[in-house]
Amino acid sequence: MRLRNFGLRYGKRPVLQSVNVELPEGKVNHLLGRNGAGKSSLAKALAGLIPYEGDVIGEKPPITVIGSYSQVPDDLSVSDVVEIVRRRAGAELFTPLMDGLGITELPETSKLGRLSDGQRQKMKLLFFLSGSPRTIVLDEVTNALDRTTAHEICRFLDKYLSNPGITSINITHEISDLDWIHGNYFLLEGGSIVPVTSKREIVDRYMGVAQP
Amino acid sequence: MMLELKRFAKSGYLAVAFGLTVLFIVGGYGWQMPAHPDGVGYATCFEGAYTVYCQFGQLILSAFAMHYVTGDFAKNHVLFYGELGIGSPGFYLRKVGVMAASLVAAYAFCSLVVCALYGDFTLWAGMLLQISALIAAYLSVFCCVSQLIGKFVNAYFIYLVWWLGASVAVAGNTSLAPLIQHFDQNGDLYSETIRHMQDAGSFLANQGQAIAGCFVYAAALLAVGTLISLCARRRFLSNGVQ
Repeated sequence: MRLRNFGLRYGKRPVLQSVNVELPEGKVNHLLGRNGAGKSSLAKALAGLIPYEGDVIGEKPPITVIGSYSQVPDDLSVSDVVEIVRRRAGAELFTPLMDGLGITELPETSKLGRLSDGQRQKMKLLFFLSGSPRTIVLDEVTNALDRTTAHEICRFLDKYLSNPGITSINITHEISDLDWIHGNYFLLEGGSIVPVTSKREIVDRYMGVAQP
Repeated sequence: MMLELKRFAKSGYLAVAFGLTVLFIVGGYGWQMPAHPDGVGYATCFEGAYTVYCQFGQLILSAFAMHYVTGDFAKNHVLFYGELGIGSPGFYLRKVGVMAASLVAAYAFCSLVVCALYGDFTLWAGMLLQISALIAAYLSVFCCVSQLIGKFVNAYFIYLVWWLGASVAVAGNTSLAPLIQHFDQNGDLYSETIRHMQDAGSFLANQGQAIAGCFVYAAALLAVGTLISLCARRRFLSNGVQ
């Protein structure tokens, strides 16, 4: 996927300006940035929720985006969602998703609203990935999770998103995600997206230790 | 649609729909009691329930419907529906369809119980049809407003202002009733309906044309609501960011 002269604004206030970046497929593209840099706004624009300027080359919005603004209804039960997923995913994808996310361990009759945050996040990933999207944006999917659950999810995503033909963006604040999910690194700062060659560099620049 | 019905039932809204129907019918009976100390008759009971639907239905059912619709925006379910291929018009029709089916089924059952208690079923079919059209018409408007506004309090307030203005307008000029307050107590439809109820055995024959008119009115509102939701796709998506 490529963003060409991509821009976002809220009213007259620009958030992203003339972003030109190529996001290769087959590897997770980690995107870090400070609060308010525009990471979630980028995700919402790619989801089709807010308008944007410029071009998205490759898969056009709406793209599958998994974030706090994309929720599976709490009134559905685990078995309800699994049934929907079974129809959407087909036999080939259904079992790997269920096993990879540990869904079979969850109580079938429980409503999603009664699950823990980590369990609900797994159900959300199960649903949104069941459509076999070729382009996926993950917006802080390990946020507010305990490190064990976050590691389980990251381990699954590392394997799933490294499939050829899948372009993914992982927006995160969690530096540990970079250890658990292999990929490319990008930094969102000053309204533009900058590729960064090493994890050390992105950590230093993100933490404000090194200058760009 | 089955998914929507499942969600409607599991989240408790189906129970509320039945509860509201019981409230309207019992409320209608209670409404008539002071004027009929010797006992509320069969036709008078239906008249009371119909009056409650016409006058209070807009205030109470609007809150119910708007809470259900805007709940999905508040809980960020728009992308969930999007993944299932359900856009703005599909969302609108599902909401109207599920609520209408539930409220009509509830009325059918509860009014059947009332008929059984009185041992008279002559008004059941005709009133069921008229109330069905009323429910469909109301829900078409409620769901459209709540889908456009997105937030429950704002949507309900805007509808309340509209309802007050329309009620005042119709009170001043009853010829406006068929257009903006079709089922209002000040309109001809209401008085005709009450008059025909007194001859319960011939109600459906006498009221048939008016009932057909109610369905045409409801269908027109549904068509307009669907068109508005089709044009307001961007609004629907932006409501999903709350």
